[in-house]
Amino acid sequence: MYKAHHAWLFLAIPGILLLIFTVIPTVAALFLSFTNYNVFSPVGWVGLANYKQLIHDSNFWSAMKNTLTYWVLVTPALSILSIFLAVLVNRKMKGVSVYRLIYYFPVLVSVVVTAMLWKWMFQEDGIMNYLLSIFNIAPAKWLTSKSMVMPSLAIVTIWQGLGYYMLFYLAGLQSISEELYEAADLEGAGFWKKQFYITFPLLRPVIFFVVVVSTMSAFKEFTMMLTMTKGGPIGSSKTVVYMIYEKAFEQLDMGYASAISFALFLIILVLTLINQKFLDKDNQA
Amino acid sequence: MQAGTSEPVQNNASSRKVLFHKLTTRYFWKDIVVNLALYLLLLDLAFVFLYPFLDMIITSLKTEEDLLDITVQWIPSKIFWQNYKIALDSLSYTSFFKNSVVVTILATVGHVLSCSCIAYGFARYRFKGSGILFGIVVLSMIVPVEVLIFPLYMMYSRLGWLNTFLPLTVPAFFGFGLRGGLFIFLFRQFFIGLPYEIEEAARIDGCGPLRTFSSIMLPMSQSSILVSIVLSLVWHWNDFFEPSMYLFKPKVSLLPARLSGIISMFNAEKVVEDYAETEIIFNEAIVMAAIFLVILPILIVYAFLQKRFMEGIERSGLTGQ
Repeated sequence: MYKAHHAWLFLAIPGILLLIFTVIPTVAALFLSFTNYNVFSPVGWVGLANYKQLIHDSNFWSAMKNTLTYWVLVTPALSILSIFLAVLVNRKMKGVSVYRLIYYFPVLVSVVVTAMLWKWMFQEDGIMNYLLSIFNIAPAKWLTSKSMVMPSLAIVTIWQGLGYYMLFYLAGLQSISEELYEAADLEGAGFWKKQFYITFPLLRPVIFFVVVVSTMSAFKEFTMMLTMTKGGPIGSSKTVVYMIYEKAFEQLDMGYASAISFALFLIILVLTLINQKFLDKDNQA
Repeated sequence: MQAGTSEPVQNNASSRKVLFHKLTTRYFWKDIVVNLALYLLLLDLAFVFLYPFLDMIITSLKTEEDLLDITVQWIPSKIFWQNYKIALDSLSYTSFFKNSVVVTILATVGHVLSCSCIAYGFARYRFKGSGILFGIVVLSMIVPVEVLIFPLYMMYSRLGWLNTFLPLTVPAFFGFGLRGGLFIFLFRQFFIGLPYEIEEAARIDGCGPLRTFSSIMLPMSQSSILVSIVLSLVWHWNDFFEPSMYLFKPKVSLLPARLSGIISMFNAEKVVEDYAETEIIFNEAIVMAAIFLVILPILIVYAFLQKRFMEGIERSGLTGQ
């Protein structure tokens, strides 16, 4: 009954525009990566030169290292902590919906705003150092020391993202039958056992979704670095997308910027496929 | 689950018996302790999530002297509304608010209309190339917009769309724009979960495919529509990168760009040309007031929609099974 030509009623116009807005710019970007285009002079074909330069560019590898560090700090924390947050607000308690609302607040503000608020908190005499002083720990250089800057940025991202992923887990939890937990209670299973044998396995499709989405956004993040640290100190918070931005819009080296873009794109693609292999076994859509 | 609630008891004697029974069971006390601990945990977490906002609001009401006085941590010596007036003026709030509202609402409407339609096509029809086409949609979710920004910029400049709202709104009407792929994905998951019998019944009643979609399937997807509306509103309201690329004439800028102008001026501690005539040195209080003014509309909208938004996410089919 679903005649193929009916599909075009829904997909024809978007299909053509998909070409215009996604495929053409992507192909154009791919093309530019084989040129030395720099806005002022005409396009010159350089073959694989940009990619060769990339392999030997220590700046690129350090940006890649920073990006991977950020990803390792952010994605596991977001994927796991938000499950507990969801379990917590999934209990039928009075006023719990208010807490759901509050935990979601950070998601509603832009990265620029978050960056500003946290920069304020990371100041030398800010609240974060005050908290450390309560535990008799010397004030930290949150954003100005090479080793602290990525963890500090990760804290901000986790603070901002938990509520968002909590929501998806919350939805997943609602679809788990209450009876399973009751049966586990009768068997005398404790909190952790219930999470490990019921919650985690049944949430697996959601975990997959969250891991994929948070991986993509971790690899794309750069507004936060731009507004909080300008990639510093000494480039230690410069991510790959930050480098693309710098090359393209400050040095106008479009060819090289496009080459970096594609390297990054391939990495994200590979990671997504790996995720799919490991986490999406029973939900191949 | 909860300790205090049990079935209403008719007579006094048995109620006393129940009470006695409850007080003597280990579980009753355990429940109370656990619940107390949980409330404390919820409250602590709420504080962690709210603290930056509380700090922002309090700081925004401080006078210059209060800002310098380290003893004034929580309660300003007097509430200084002047900061908000200065922030309103330097954001030119009313006119740029209008710009932001127009772009946000148009783009959101576009996303809902187009993404639901495209998603329905993907959910219900298999044809040659449908796999590839959906692959491209997924790909558009993966490619960072920064990668495409230069070719897009060139295209919009050829079309003469720079410094208009078209690059931010038109793509949304065709399923692209800010995270359009995600909305297509969201609607597709929902439609896949619906039984085919609905459409069969519609067909028997003589409904064509477009009618079936617009008057039966679309109204059924209310929850997904609401989820898309909320997410799209928030993202478009806050979006900074793309607008800052396409809109560089001050007249057409949006609120986040204005705000970021104020923030960078505050960080640079110098007066930029644009604002030279006002000759205001921004202090933390004014910056915080400006931030609050920019995020306030979306907080209000969310507070109104949040209950149905949560329900919508639950029904979206995004979470498996």
